[in-house]
Amino acid sequence: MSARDVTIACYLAVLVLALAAELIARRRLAGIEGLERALGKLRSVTAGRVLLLVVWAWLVWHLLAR
Amino acid sequence: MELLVRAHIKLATEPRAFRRHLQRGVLAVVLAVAGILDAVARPFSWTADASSAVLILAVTCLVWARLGRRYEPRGGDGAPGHGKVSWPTWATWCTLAAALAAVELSALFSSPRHDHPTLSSLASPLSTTTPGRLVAFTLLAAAGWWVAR
Repeated sequence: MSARDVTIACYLAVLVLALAAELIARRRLAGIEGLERALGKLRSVTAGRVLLLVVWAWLVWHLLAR
Repeated sequence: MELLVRAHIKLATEPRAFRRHLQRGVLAVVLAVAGILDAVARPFSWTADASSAVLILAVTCLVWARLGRRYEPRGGDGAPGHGKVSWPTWATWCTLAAALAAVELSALFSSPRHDHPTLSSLASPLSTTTPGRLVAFTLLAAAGWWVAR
């Protein structure tokens, strides 16, 4: 297994875990709420909104410009 | 002509609403032009830099305009942003975000890029095509709108 395969496997593992967490949230198990609710709560406070803006801006620059 | 008359009536009767509609219209046109420019651009070009900067600047202005205002979640008690969020929720999503950031940053500061791909290098087969860039720009603009509204 090459270093490239390991890196891609790590991305896929995070994706699968996120999907599992969202599924658990939708079935109302383990007291976890969905990503939309967590991000919505984060957005409702000024510091959280600024943090989301910074992450979003980095994503735009990283994916579109670089 | 009729459109101009309607606009004049709206300006006279509801100046704030008119100004808001006008601002949104101008913003939509600017973002549409930036999106088209970005779709035909290639990464590491000045057009890609300029269109990304326009998008970031537009959303930053919208967020700036909202800062300090009281947030009113839409959709009542069940809306995102309303009420408290449980600690297992924060723990789960913060851990996943930290894991993603760790993998991404580890790849970003490693070389060669082929052995340590970042998310953008994995997306590069798509982000170098016009339809792929158009879709990416639209999705990122929608995400930016969500952050700002």
